[in-house]
Amino acid sequence: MDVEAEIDRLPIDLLAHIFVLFTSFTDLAQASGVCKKWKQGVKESLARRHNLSFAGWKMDDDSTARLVYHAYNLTKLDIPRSRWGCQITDAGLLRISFAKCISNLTSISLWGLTGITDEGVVQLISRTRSLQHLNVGGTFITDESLFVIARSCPKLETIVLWSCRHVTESGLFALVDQCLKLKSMNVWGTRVPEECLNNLLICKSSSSDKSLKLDCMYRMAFKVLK
Amino acid sequence: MSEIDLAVIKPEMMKLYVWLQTSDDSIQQVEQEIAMFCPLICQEIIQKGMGSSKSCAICLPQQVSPAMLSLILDYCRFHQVPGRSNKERKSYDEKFVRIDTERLCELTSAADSLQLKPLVDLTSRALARIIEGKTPEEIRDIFHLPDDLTEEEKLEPLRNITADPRIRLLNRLYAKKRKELKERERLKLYIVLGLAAQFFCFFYQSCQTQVSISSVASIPKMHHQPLTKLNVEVEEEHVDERSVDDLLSFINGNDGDPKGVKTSKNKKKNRRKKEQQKSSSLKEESELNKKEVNGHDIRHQSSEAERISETLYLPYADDDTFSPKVEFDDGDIDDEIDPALKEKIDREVEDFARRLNSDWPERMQELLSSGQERETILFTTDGFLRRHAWSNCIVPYPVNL
Repeated sequence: MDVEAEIDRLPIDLLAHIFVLFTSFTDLAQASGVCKKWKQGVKESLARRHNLSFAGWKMDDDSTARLVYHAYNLTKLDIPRSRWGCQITDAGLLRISFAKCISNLTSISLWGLTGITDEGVVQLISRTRSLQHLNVGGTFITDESLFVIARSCPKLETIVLWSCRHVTESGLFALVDQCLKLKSMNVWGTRVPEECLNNLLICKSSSSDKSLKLDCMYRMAFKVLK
Repeated sequence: MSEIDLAVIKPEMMKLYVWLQTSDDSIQQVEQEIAMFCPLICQEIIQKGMGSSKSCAICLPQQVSPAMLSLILDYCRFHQVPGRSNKERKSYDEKFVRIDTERLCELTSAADSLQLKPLVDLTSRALARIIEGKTPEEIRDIFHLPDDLTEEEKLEPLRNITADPRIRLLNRLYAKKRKELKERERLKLYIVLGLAAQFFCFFYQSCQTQVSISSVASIPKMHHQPLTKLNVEVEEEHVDERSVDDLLSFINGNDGDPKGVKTSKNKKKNRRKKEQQKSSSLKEESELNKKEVNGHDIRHQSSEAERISETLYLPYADDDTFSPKVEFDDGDIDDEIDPALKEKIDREVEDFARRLNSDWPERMQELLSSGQERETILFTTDGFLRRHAWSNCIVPYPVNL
């Protein structure tokens, strides 16, 4: 039997290395149903992942939260709306926010999740510390979320607010004012008037290190007005 | 050898060798340049100065057998040559991992122990390709793995991937299995409780000489039902102390009137009357709407309910709605109809149905114009009346208004 079960000799970390190569969550789930060692290997493979993208998968609150919980070393989380429609709700974001990896995340995408509101976004974002890239395009968030983003994400470099129709200039002002490293902001499809964007530029130009901030603001304004 | 000869010999011709000891204690001499491709061997040579002679050979990890070492060295030999294109390397790698799964696993393990990352990645990818798209059972068959997961762990829903139809199907199957497991557990519990109840009843009987019906009924339903299922006899024979008159009145259903014979005569009279009513009502269309339901359906329903409550022994089987004790006086009307009369009735019914069918379009027009809810009587093929409510919908069969 020793010779036969050759794969059983492989250490768990090597099994995990094999499972990291799986592109499909289906295969991961199937592998976890083989034996206890493999189940552990699947968990460890999730813990090794730095990127987790659910693009194209029909994910619900429960399964998403469970996978994120196991992915301790995650730095990039992508939960966009899939062709199956929106399955993630505020309850899911709340559960995800308690995962160990959240404080280390540098990139979060919640693109097109129409089932989420300020409540869920606030819970999630308020627990992040290293966030640099945020995509909340196509959601129904308001300035309430933007205020929390401004407070909680000092390292924020890019933010996508594409088609966030409930966002106003006051939220954008808070972002520009507090996220000093902000380089680009996509506000295409929002109802923010052009004068407001000019006001943002003027507001920034009065800050101490003009050149850097102005450069940042011009790039931002270019992206916005393009 | 002269200095001129030495000068002619190029550095690549002067090959250095290292000694390697594999898991079966056999010692091999390998070109240092190729062996150094493995980080573990490289480390041993540089840091510890091992492998220079047979006496101080580099001990390789337990996972590295001579066969695996030769495979690994072949891989290193090919990839160590500098002038090869990526296409060549790729095609070599593809051919290299076309080996049986057991050897592939062994190779992965050996490469991992020698810290040869490119080969580990290559073999891992090959193993991943083998595993992908397989069910746990298939994977166990391929790799001869033990099935050490508990029933609960196996039936844990695979919620991550509900998009996949295979998994959706699997989840449905798992849910079914979970249900079966629960049912089995519940049945075991019922049997245990049933036995306990039986013991309790016998104990109770030994205390009292008579056990009334109410005392058995006082056992909770959950316990009582399995007893009926298991056919456990718990009731003792009753000694009825009522008078004959009381019993007769009880049988006849009259509280005070003990005239049992008279009621049976009345039943026969009622039957005859109902037969006459039935035949005359079929002739007269105007009286059709006033006719009451035959009682067939109700009797059929009650027998169905009785059967269901017996087989499934539902928790609501004790309710009045499912009670099998209800009797109908006119339940056996059809049994005593004269065959000639029956034929006549059937002919009339057919004739009437034909008449209805012939002027169906006009009737439909009327129906559509007056879109009210009406109670209608529908004819079915067995000449047997049913009452339905018309709810503004087109019905593709004759309706009598």
